Amino acid sequence: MRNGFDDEMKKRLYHYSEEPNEQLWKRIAPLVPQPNTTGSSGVHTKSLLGIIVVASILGLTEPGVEATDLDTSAASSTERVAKRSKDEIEMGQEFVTNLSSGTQAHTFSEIQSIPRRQLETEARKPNYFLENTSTVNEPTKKSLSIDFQGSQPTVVEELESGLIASVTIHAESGASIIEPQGVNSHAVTPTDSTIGEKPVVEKTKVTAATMRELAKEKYKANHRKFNFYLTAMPTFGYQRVKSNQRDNIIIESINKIPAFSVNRLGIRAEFGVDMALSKKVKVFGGLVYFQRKQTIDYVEQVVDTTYVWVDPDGNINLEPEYNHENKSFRYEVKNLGVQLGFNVILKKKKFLQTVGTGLELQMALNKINEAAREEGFTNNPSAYVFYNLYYRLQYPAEGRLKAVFQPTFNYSFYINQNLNAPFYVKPYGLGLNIGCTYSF
Amino acid sequence: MISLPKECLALIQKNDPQSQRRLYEVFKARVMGICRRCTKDKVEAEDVFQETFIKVFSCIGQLHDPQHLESWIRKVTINTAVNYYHKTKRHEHVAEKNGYHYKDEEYDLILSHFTDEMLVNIINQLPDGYRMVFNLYVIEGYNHAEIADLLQISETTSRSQLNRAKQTLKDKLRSLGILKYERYA
Repeated sequence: MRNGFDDEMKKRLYHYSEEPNEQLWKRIAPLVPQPNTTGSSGVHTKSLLGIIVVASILGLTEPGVEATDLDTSAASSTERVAKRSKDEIEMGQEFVTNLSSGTQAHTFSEIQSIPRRQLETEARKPNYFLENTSTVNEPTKKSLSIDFQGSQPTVVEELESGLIASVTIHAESGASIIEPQGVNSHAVTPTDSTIGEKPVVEKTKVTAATMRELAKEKYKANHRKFNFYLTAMPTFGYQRVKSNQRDNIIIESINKIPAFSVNRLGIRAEFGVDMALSKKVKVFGGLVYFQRKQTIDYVEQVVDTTYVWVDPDGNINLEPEYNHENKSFRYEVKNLGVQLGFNVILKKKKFLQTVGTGLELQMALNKINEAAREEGFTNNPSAYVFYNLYYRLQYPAEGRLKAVFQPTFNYSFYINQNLNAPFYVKPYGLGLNIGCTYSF
Repeated sequence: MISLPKECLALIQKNDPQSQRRLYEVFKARVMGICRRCTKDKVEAEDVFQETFIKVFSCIGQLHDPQHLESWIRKVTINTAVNYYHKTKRHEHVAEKNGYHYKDEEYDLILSHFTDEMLVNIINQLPDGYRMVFNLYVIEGYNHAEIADLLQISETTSRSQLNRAKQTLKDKLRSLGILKYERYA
């Protein structure tokens, strides 16, 4: 039984129309019944003519060319044939021979009878060589391609001896102009005496080895071996604090300061040289200076009073009464060290992006501060071994002078034990290195 | 109702190309509309459309009264769509949904938010069997006996498929309608 919904849907969609794709009629038209004209011999005559036209067009056109409209006139077919002849005239008098098949060189007239596509296919076969244009025995050649475009088709061939040359077949004289592709080019132009004869061709030896040398020099120019680098880095310092369990000092708490507080700020400077080991890997070494000062405030539990009594049994009892004291530890680092590491190029486009890692051995430059020691603890000068990890962005990617932007993380995993501190401090830092590199 | 002059019909029956093209231009939008409703997507619709017109031009000699041209073309289109459905029938398992049954009056407001093309697209999303039965019964006005004969199913199946088709359609309309409704609210 129908209801309101059904009626509404029918009302909306019964006359629903939509414009079809315009190309659909082209698909349909050839499939619909064609007009019938009976009792007229003209129809059969027209059909025959149509078949003849189609057959002649198919015979003249090249394989792979789409069939044109059946109404193509005879005049346009003739034009196509004429154009083809002209193309083949431009190919020259002599053409290439397929050594493997042992066929002879084709003359111009013979070329005319060969379909164009076959000519192109033949030219791409191996062991193609130019018909002997020299009295000198030539090494076997390998042809690469024949360029039919333009008015002067060329054959590019790579000789087994390493010769690389392009040969232009002169349309009118049939002579060959050979232009070796390399530094030492030498062109032989046809002279009157060569017209109608097989010209002698001189070839200069531009070997593949020479080309490789050139490429190497070019690479070297782009990838200079040694680079100096000089960077300075403001760094935020952090500590890992580990208490000393044998010093009878009880530390209750350590005051925290914000992660990016100015109190944590220090400075690093690096200067050194890097050397390319390969296209992507460089090793570097140099000097590093590191300076940082920080005061660590902590709360120490101290014994304020100790109560002592003797009980009736004669035992001596001790009961300490604790108090809390705020103390501070002045932590100062002024180190000079050496660094060694390597970096890997990630990407090189507008910016040069690298990641790197390295080790540093740093010795303290500062001396023991006796006055400061009297006030509180201060660290002894110490040796440190740091491990670095960084990401470097250099701009421009090429060129002698480059700006450097380098977030760096470093971590000390060894410190001399003589710190004279109530706790064991291992500094690590996160910083942003800004500087430049200069390439020689 | 669209009809052509008798002379034009005669020319079409003689396969006059220009008259054929004229007939095509007059009826192409309507035929495509039916094809779009009855098929899953535009590609299938174009296939049915093409077959329809080939049949129309092949069998137009059977038509004598130009007044019936439109309804005849409509019938050819439906039959072509049904044949296409038989050829490409996909045996889809459609899970029973225990959806809510809403009153039909509620859909007036929802339907008013949709264009005809949107409705057709929603119908395209129905399973093939549901879509055919829905089109034939609700829009084309066939009864269940005729549908059963066309689709080679039983009348009971035709009824149940119709109910499910309508329910599915209503659920879709409802869910889409609510979204649209809230947007305007």
